[in-house]
Amino acid sequence: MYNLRAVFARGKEVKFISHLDMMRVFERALRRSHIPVSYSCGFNPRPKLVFGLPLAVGVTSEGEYVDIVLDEEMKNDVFMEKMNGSLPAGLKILKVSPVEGKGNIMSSIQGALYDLIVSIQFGKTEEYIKQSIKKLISQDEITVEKRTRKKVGIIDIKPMILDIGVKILSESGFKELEFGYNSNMSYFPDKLAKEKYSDLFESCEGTVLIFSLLVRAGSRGNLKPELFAEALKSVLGQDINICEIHRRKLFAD
Amino acid sequence: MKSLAVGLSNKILMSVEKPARYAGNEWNMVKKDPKNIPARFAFCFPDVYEIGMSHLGMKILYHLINKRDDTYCERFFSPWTDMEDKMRENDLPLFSLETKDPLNIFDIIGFTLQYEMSYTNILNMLDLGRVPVLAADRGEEHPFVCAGGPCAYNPEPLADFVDFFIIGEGENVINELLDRYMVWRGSNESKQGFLKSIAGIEGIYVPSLYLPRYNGDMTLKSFMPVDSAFPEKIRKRIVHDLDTSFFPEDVIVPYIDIVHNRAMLELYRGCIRGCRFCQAGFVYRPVRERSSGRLMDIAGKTIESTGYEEISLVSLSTSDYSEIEKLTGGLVGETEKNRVNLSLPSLRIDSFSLDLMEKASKVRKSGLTFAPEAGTQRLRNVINKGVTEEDLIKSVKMAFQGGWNNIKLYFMLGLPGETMDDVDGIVDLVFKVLDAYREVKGKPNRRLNITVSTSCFIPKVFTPFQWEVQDNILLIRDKQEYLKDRLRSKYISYNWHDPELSMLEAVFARGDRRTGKVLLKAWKKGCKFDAWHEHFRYGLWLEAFDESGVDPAFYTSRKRSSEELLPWDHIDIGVSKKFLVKEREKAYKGELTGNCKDICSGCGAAVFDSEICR
Ligand code: SF4
Repeated sequence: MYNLRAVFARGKEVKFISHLDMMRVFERALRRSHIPVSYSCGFNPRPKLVFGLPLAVGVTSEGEYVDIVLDEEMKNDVFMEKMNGSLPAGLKILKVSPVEGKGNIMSSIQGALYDLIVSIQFGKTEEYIKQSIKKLISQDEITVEKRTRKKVGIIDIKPMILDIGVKILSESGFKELEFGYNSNMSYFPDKLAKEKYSDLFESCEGTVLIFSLLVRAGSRGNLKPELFAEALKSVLGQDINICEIHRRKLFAD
Repeated sequence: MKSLAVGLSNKILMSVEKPARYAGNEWNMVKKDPKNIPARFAFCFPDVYEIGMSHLGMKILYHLINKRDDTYCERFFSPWTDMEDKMRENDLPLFSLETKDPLNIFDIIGFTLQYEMSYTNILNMLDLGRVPVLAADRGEEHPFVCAGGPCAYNPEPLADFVDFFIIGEGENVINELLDRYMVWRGSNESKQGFLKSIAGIEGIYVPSLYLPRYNGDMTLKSFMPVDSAFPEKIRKRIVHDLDTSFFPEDVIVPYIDIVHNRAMLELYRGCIRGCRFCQAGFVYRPVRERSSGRLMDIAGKTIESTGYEEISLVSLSTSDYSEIEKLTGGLVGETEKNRVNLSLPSLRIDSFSLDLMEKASKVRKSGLTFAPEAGTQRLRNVINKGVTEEDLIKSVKMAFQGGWNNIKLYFMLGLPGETMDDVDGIVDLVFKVLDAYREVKGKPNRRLNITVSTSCFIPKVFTPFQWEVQDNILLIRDKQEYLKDRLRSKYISYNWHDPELSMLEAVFARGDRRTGKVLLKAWKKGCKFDAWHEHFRYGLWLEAFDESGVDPAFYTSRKRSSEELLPWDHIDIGVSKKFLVKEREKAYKGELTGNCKDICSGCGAAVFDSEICR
């Protein structure tokens, strides 16, 4: 028995697949690369794979975790090379390390850092947008409607937001709005590739905002960036378009 | 060169169900740089991704065409209605999954015809792809539109829309065709010139080069080529040796769950039995098997290249494969080693197969399917289904003893000569199955479930029943009600097919060129995805018939004489009309015909010189 933890990225080529489908992609890649993954016992044996936190349909990431149990020991770099040869374009293992102790990755996830890129249709001034965000952030409560399959409920998402940074994209680049949320937004993406700007300019109409959201994640409270976007929508009083959601990092304890 | 690719925004894809249907980029998808490829082939499946991607024929031809350096074959599926709405709203044309290029820049568009009720989707895909749906409206700047697959054995309903049909199995003919296309490309010939040049290739049918004439009573008077240079009969193509013919091992592995999400191992083509209602049993003659050695080789390589967790045997009847014991013996070991499930559909249930299923799959015992098709021995003899009640009861007893609780029984309503006695026979048989359970297991437990499904008989071309009448909708409904009333038990569930849909299917199954007008009208009225219950709009279809002046009853409810010239008589499947007439007469007398392995009944398919016919 040998326990591995891999960090992997999911690019836009494969962002539309569900969590269940992702597990199947990994299973098949393991089979293609002849990696001796362990299987559970019982009637319907399953490969021993545990993912850190499901990634929603449409979200990209550069910091996903998966724990894998192998029947025999394998060098980390050999594992990485084999898997990267068998994973489809868009999925890539970035780092592999042995797992110490018995910790389960799924239960140790505490927080997540997202980039949420939205565009706001023309018609609102930059100043108005700025003031609206300011107002949103300074509220004691940020309530949104949360729909689950069965019911619609009102929840306060403020306790789940740990930090926020905002930038506005303009022709000349992007500029940071002068307010943060907690104190320092050190996780803020300091460089976004040049191509990405032009991509965003082409695909998004109106004013483009880039949020960095540090939020609670995992089994004890999990905030999806879409819910934050909902809150933004109500304070702006108009529809917004989510251009991209990207998970930068997961935080485990 | 600026990319022609259709821009799909995040907003659009995130607003539709299952966006991965439209994203492509799956494992083993073929990537080529279109700039360096002279010809582009658009392989179109007129249904959603999950259905199209489950289809073996498409996998074979996709990889076969892509083996050519001069052609790039890309996939197109019908967008689901939510996506279609978004595409039309945003003025986006139908695009390929490979490059996202629009349909109308392709050189050849090929549709696969798997069922008649996908025909409206063909028109819809062309239209979404900005290609005029009528062949007559397409000019030199438009792609060629071709079609093949099982429904192409009666191509006439689509004659107005399709430039040429491929009759029979496509593997060899597609390459001959593309070779000709390459030559034509380099010439100054018109599109019509190309079509004339391929009309002589065996297996190619160019409908615009043929002219039907009708009698006063609407029946066909004559059907002739416009010029004697073109063949009067178009013989289907087949692959003679499955061991040496191409079979893809590096098939595409979809991300999302599809209908058949597994590797497929094609054992053989054709069927040794001649059930008289079954089109596949005649049009795919003669039987040609792949050797177990070749199959083991394919199985190993496919698992290796796809990583699939399940492999399935594919054929019309698994148990009829000559080397079944040898093959499964080898496969069970191989799949166990790789932790791959082996799925064994359409097995005849006996002690060998039950034992095999036990070994092959570690998963829970899902349902077992039996298809007696008719309720009485008399009617089973009429349709040449050589199963007796005794066989069936013996098999289900074995299954119950083996721990199976889920039994499916398939029947057909409206078979030629069916009486209420035969419908009663279905009820009897179902309850005998229930009694069989009691006999071997005692009092039924809650998990016991006998599912009875009845479909409606549809007379299909190139079967001994191609001249027969289809029961009208009211009669089928009566029979369904009758069964509903009598199949009452908490252990029995009863499913039935829409007779309205079956009626339409019957019109197009035996339709002539005039039915194409109805199709066009129905599509213009908004009919699409007709095979999907939630989209089937019978009322619109009736309007379309009415406005086209076509009476559906002419096609469904009229018993034809064996002498009548049929709209598909110019297609030659090898099996002779004389043989079909003989089978029709034997059906009336309830006489059985033996299977090809026991005795050759001289059907005519020996012209293909296969081993089994010698
Ligand atoms: S010629 Fe004989 S053996 Fe061959 S397919 Fe026909 S009936 Fe079967």
